[in-house]
Amino acid sequence: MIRAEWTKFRSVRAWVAGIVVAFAAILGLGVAGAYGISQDCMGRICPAPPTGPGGEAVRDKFSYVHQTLDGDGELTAHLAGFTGIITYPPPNHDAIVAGLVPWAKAGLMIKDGTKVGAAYAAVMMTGHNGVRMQNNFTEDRAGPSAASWLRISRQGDKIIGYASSDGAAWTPIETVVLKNIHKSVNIGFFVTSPSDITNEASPRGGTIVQARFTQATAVFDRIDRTGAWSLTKVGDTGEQTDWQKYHTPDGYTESNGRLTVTGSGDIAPAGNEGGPTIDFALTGVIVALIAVIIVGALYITGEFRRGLIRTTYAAMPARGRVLAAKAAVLGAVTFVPALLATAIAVPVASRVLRSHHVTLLPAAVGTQVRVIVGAALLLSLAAIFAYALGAALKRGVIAIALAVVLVVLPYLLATTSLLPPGAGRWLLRLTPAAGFAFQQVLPAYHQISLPYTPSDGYYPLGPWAGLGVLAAWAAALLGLAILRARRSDA
Amino acid sequence: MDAIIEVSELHKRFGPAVALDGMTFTAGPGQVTGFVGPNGAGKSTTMRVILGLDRPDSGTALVGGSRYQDLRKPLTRLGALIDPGALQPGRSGRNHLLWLAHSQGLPPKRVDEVLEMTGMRPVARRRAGGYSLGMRQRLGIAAAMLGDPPVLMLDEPFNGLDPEGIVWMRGLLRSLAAEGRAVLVSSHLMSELQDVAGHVVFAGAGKVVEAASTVAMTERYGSLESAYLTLTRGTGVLR
Amino acid sequence: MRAALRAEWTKLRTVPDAAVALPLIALLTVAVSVAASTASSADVVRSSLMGVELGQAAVAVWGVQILAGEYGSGLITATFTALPRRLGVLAAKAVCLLAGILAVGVPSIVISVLAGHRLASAYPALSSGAVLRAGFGAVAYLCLIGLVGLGIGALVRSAVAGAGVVLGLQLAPTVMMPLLDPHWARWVYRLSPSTAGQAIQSTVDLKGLPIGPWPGLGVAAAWAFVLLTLGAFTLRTRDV
Repeated sequence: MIRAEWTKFRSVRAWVAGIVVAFAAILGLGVAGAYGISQDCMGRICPAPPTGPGGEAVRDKFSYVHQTLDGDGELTAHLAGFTGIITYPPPNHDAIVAGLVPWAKAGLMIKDGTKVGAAYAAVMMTGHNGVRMQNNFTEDRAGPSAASWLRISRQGDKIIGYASSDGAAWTPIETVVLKNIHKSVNIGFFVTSPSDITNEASPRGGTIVQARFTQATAVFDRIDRTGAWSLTKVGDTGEQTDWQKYHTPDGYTESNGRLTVTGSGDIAPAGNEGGPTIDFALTGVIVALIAVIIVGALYITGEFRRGLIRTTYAAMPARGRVLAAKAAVLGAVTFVPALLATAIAVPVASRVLRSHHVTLLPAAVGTQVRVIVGAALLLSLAAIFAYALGAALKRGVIAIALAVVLVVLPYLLATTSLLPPGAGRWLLRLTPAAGFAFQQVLPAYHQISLPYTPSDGYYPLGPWAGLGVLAAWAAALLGLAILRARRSDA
Repeated sequence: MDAIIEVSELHKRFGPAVALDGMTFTAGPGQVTGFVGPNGAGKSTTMRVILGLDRPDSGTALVGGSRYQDLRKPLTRLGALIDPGALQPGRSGRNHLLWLAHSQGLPPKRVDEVLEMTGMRPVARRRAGGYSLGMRQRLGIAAAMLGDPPVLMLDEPFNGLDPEGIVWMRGLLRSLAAEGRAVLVSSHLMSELQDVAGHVVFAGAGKVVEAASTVAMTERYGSLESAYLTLTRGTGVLR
Repeated sequence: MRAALRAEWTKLRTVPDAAVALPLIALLTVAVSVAASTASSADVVRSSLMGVELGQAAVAVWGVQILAGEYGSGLITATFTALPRRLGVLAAKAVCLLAGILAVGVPSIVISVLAGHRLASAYPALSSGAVLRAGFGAVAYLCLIGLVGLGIGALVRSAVAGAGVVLGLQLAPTVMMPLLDPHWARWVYRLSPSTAGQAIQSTVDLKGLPIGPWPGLGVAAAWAFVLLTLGAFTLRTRDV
């Protein structure tokens, strides 16, 4: 009797220990990981990335040929030419070739000052994506694909973009509102061209992302505004490629009412190349995940092993309710400590980083809360998943092996590029590993040519949808377990 | 002097709980020694210490004069039935005995002999996971008899046996003792021991409360049942 | 020891699970390897051994199960009653485990390499040092991971918890690495049994690896040794 009680106590102590390990891992590894991260830019503290009007980190680098617009007004021009170069593209990487990358941009822009990150709206032709109207870095609308005439017009804080194929019949693309812009703003021509990006698998796992310099040149004529134009190389760092030094510098020329503008860079939200995001504080989650999976599996197999389940069922004959109630208890005892741990780890780790002068990409409060709650939900759902698997299979070791393999292995295969990105994305849609999607801090934008692979921290499903997939797995297995418990002998 | 179990001054604690508190007794050859006491008296712990499964804090337990851990081919010196459920469910009863036989360098022929002896032959090739408690008890007895040992130690051997099985078990115990073996049997069913045991050790709270021959015990208290009730009064605290 | 070995071997071959599980593991290992060989890769030899990723999980869980599983069923009582020399039991189990891993692992690896050689372009000669090292290393790695599992099983004494711990030990470092500072990530790579141990399967860009093939296998061996020693100590000192 003493022995039985002792064993019981010990087994309960074991799963309390599992929860404690999970809690400590999230906190300890999250904060320790933050201490490990260092960042320097040529031996100096890295400057914070510029942010747009929405608070997100942005890239804002282009050639801007502009004049002042006081109050309302408009600019119309014909895009007479749009060409560019790409340096050393694959497969041979041995030549500089003529061509435009898909999101090279040339067009008309109204911008609230020439400072990096200032509010703007622009109507433009792109390399492969037709006419677009974009504003404030994150917004993008498609216009007609075959237009060569562009017009941008301001009425108060409303900016309207138009396109036309003949300069006579105009199609409005969109009216956007730039809140609180000054009365006096800049209006003019811009050209920019983002890097040509490819990624390939590294022999050591992971992907090697290659970014190649590109440059675009646009010719504008039939310009309806007179007066002098001036050039601002927005976001220019002064660094130049050999192509810019010896061949074609960024800038503009003017002759016979024709403006030729050359630029490189991008106007877009920054990806995770801009620096670490708050998801680095989740280093310990994987260890915690293993711990709660063990707890979940032990929680049920302990019952089956020595026939304790018969006692339980004798005391509470509604078997389905018993199994569901146990799942609820498990969910609660894993969710609450995990939530507490992540809620402490994320701000503390961020503070550690800031004190080390490491720049975190800004994340909205909503995003931070989502990451914190998402981590706790992942742990709690994974524990229930392992528990349900154990209850359905009645074989603890197989249950735990399957639980770990189904939750962690797909994530590992997808994020370390052991698989091609396409296969990795499918794993992250269909397997319980979909739950990891809550970690994605930065949204993916269709108007940026980035690979957006799982290994870069971009998931095929949204955060709640991903956790939903995991929850569906857990619920399905719990249903199976209840069905089996009702049909078979204990 | 092979057929003897000598337990002296065993002490053991599990954390704050005292399991053994100076347990001392001897089970001699040629008779069945009943080992009786309420739950928590330390019977099972004593048997586990004798088998070297648990380590005492102090004291010794000797089988035929040696510590169990020092025995070569221990199953040929002491056969024990401790936990009849201790089986891998997927393995057949016969294969369970087979690996035990191999562990003692015994021929497979011996497996069939003990299967025959315990009446397990018809079910020997079925998975042990499907055995009833009675079948498991018989398989446990078969395992204990495998090495034809001079000493046997059985923990609650009557548990789960049907009336026919109880009769069989009684006969088996008597004949084992008659062959000169030392047989230590723990039980809380007094009536079985009344008919079988020649010597009774009453345990309570980790030590021996009284040890005497069944005849002497019956003379003093009227029956083993009333001896049990008298002797264990106040010690039957569940811990 | 001979008797202990025979007993353990009898145990191993008389559980129907093993008869199903082992060929299945071999099949899956080869299948994953072959699938990986059909995709393009910078290190075709390592790709042709991709099945080890799966095989190692199975082998590790088996290593846990072979000892810790007996605690679950209570069989451990019978085992230590029949064979009171507990370290002998541990050694016998280790030998049986290794024999089993070799029986399954060697054919799996040989078939994987042969398939890689046929399917992948620019596969080095089968007799080249790199291929032999990777193939031998893969088998050796599987053996070591099995022993790691056995050691953890002896420490944890619960097959379920042990399986979780050993799988976590294999997978967690790899998952954590991208989140860490690169400098720390290299140390995690060097010190964790799965990443360091599998360095032996690499044949390309060895200089760029955080740890060389042989030192990496040494790290895995150190894990196996330390965990087995701790496990042995636990077996000796604790009550069953």
